[in-house]
Amino acid sequence: MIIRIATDFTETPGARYRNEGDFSGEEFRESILEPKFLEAKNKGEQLTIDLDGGYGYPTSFLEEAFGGLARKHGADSVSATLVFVSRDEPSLVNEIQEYITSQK
Amino acid sequence: MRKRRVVTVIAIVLAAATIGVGIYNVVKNKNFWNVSVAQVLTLLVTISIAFWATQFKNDQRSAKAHAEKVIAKIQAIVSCEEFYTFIPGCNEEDAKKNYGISQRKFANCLSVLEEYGKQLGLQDDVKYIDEQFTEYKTFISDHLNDFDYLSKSEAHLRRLSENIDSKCDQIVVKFYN
Repeated sequence: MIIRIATDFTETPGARYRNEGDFSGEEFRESILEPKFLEAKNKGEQLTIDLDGGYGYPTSFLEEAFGGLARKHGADSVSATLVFVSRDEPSLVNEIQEYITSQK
Repeated sequence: MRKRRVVTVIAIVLAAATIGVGIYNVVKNKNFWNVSVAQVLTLLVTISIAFWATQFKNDQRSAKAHAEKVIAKIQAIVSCEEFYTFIPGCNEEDAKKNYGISQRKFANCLSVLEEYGKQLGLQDDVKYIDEQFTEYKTFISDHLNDFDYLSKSEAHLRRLSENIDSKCDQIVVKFYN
């Protein structure tokens, strides 16, 4: 299973919360990430998150989307299920993993 | 380009002269191949020392040269007015795209610089740049949909940009000390 954020959601991710504008981290988590995460977890599969193709990611978007998922479902479960791909900005992968593991 | 051509011509002339002298010696000097072990050893030692002297710290020199190029890229990014100036009422979508691209460019340059950090003893400097950059991107990310607020925060963003720029200058000075 795979989510390509640039094509499945937006090329221009926004801020943290829905009330701050379009394409927020909260919107992404609730409408795309969490349902796919639960589906992958129930099937015992990994969910690949492809971060390439967009115009960069605000830190609060990433924290709310992935850190928020870890707050709700546990950092270990999220770490075990999600796999990140970022050729455009490889350091994003570590950054997101820090948001997830900091919820432990 | 012209300098390179002159160097190439000089190198070719020197090589030809050396080969010419060598051939002349082989033909004219009957004792040319009669050398003692001491003479051979002297030659080998001289060549070895010359080779070592040219290669010594060559890797570090190359790393410094590349790190300097990366630093220049970082300075170009942070010195650009768009890095710290946000104008309310402008095409905000385009501004966000530009911000995202320059942030990514910066992050990629910083990753390369981090790779050189240990080799060139720059860990603390790179860490400082990383901290300033994290503060910058977190601040913008938290107010991404409020250009009015971002425009009023130009002084703060400019301070972060200048901190990074100054630290880059300090790193380059270290390379030559």
